[in-house]
Amino acid sequence: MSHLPQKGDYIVKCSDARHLIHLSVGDDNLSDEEQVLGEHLHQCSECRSYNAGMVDAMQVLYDFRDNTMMASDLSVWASVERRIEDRRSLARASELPQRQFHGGIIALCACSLVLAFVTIVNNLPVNHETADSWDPNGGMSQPNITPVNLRPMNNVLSGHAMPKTQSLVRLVDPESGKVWLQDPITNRVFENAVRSRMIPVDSGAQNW
Amino acid sequence: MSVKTLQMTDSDSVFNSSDQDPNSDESGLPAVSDARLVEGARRGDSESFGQLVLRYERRVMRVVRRFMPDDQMAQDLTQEAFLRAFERLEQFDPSRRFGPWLFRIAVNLTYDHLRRMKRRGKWALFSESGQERTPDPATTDPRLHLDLSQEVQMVLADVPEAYRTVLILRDLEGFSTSEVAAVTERSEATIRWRLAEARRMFREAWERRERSFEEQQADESSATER
Repeated sequence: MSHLPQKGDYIVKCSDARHLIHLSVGDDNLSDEEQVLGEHLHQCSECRSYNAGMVDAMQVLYDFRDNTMMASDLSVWASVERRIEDRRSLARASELPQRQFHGGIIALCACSLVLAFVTIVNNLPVNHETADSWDPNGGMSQPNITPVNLRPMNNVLSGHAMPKTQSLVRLVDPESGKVWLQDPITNRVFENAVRSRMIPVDSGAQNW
Repeated sequence: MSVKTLQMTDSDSVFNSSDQDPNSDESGLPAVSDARLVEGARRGDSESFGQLVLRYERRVMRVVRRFMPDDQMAQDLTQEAFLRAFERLEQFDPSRRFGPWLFRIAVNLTYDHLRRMKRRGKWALFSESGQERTPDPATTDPRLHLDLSQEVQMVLADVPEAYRTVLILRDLEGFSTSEVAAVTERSEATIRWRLAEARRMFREAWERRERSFEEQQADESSATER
């Protein structure tokens, strides 16, 4: 059933045997390893003395283990519990201003949007002509109205100084193709011939 | 080749594969498993975590104390280990055992602390004047007056961390090889190899120390004879 060891079966090198000795002193060898080591120690006197030294060294370690006074039996749970509670309350406290902070950001965004909207609306060009002033059934067809934004120039139109920022309305007579520019604030009409000296900034048509 | 067998303490039972601690419940009711307590603690139940602390605190403190000679510091580190475990419960894999995870936190915290102390020591060495650090030949070497436990602790401190951990957990705290492997997240084969090396290193360091001690004693006796 079992393999009977023959002479020479369990020959291991001393270095390997010493590795097994290190494990053997703490009962960490498998049974077959223990058998191999036993056979080697039986034959090798150097390893036998090495083993004895190792057992002595381990005895020092075990004496240390058995004689060392260990820490007190005081439970740490009370302290741990208190610290957990402290951290929880700290976390709760830090959550509150965080919510206020988010609210502030949202309010600030809303204010900025409102302000931007108001600014845009204020900057839109205003048509002083009322809808009633146009006669859709009159002899003149509805003109093609295109606002023209002009870059501020210290320019003179027909002897009048142009304001620094001006939005003129482009009036086109579809029949004759003639184009006028009208200042919506003063209702002053400029001839298109002068327009070539002006640099259009926004040529996009707007219906207003 | 008779070897002193390690005796497992009562609290060792918490590290059994069943993860049950029969001693934790004094009323005689079957103890709640670690897994269930961890589950409760993860839901925010302090009571459950409290039971885990009571179950493991002595063992954790013993382990920390093995690395740390200062009792008070060992206690502080034990507290810190439990606190950290509580904070990181979400990261804990419930399919694994709680014990090795907790001990890993404790051991890592202890090593972090020891490294910090070591660094501070180095800075203190640089910041202080050289005269204060020069040993006074008139005074005897304080190492001569150390008792056995202090001597062993100093020798253990000479063993590299990875080996010292294995040596302390296995030979001083009685963890099995598989438990040490679980704590250190290494294979059992690695642990066995490290254990053999750690014992060899300890033996060599111990013998070196004994030799130097004998030489010093011989020097002292020859000096008094003159």
